[in-house]
Amino acid sequence: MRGRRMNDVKDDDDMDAVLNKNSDDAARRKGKSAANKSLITRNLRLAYGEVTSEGVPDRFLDILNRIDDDSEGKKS
Amino acid sequence: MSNLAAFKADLIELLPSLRAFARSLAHNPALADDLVQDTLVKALANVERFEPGTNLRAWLFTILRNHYYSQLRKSKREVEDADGKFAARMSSRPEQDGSVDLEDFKVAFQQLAPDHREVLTLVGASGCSYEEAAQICGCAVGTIKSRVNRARKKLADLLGLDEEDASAVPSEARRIEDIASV
Repeated sequence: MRGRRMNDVKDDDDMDAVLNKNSDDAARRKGKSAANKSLITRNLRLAYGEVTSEGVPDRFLDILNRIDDDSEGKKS
Repeated sequence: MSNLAAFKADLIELLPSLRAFARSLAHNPALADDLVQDTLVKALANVERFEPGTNLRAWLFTILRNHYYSQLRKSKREVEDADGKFAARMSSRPEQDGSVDLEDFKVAFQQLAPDHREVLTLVGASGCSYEEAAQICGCAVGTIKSRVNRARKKLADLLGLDEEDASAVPSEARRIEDIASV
């Protein structure tokens, strides 16, 4: 009787362990997927920010100024 | 201020993000700036076709990406070879804590297909909404969403971060706060 009861307890413990393990794994996967997502977003922004924080090369401003001059008199 | 002067001022303001978008498509900085230059020339030549008050950034990004893809089609090998010269190898695997080096991140990013690079950059870095990204890429919003997911999974894979193996953020990024997720 006592032995049987102990087996039941053991089974219950095993079941709890399995259930907990599954939900832990799911939570961990979810957490890690979210962590990957934010890691990627942060690095994307860092790489993007490196370029946007560079000064704009003069060649682009020259093009814009040239067009403006060319358009002088044509535009109101 | 004339219309053209106002348009020009708006263009200048958008140049940094236009350059960053170009760099995500053409990794080679010189090629990327050539794309920007061509985009500027096209934008100025078609200024009459831009409706004032509509989204100038989306309009410029659309011109740039269309130009990039048409160049890619015209001289596929040439563009790829030019990009290849700048391709580097990742210097290391992800750290034990799941962080990655920014330079390694860029190397992995460049291995993605252009359509994956562009959606990640538009939605993840430039702050475009899914709707704007869809407008720029000429496809449905749902297509953008699923493409972003696939691109992110592929990139995680290239970085050696499977869904079981990343719990921390890169050290370079820790000081960046208030970041929206891709």
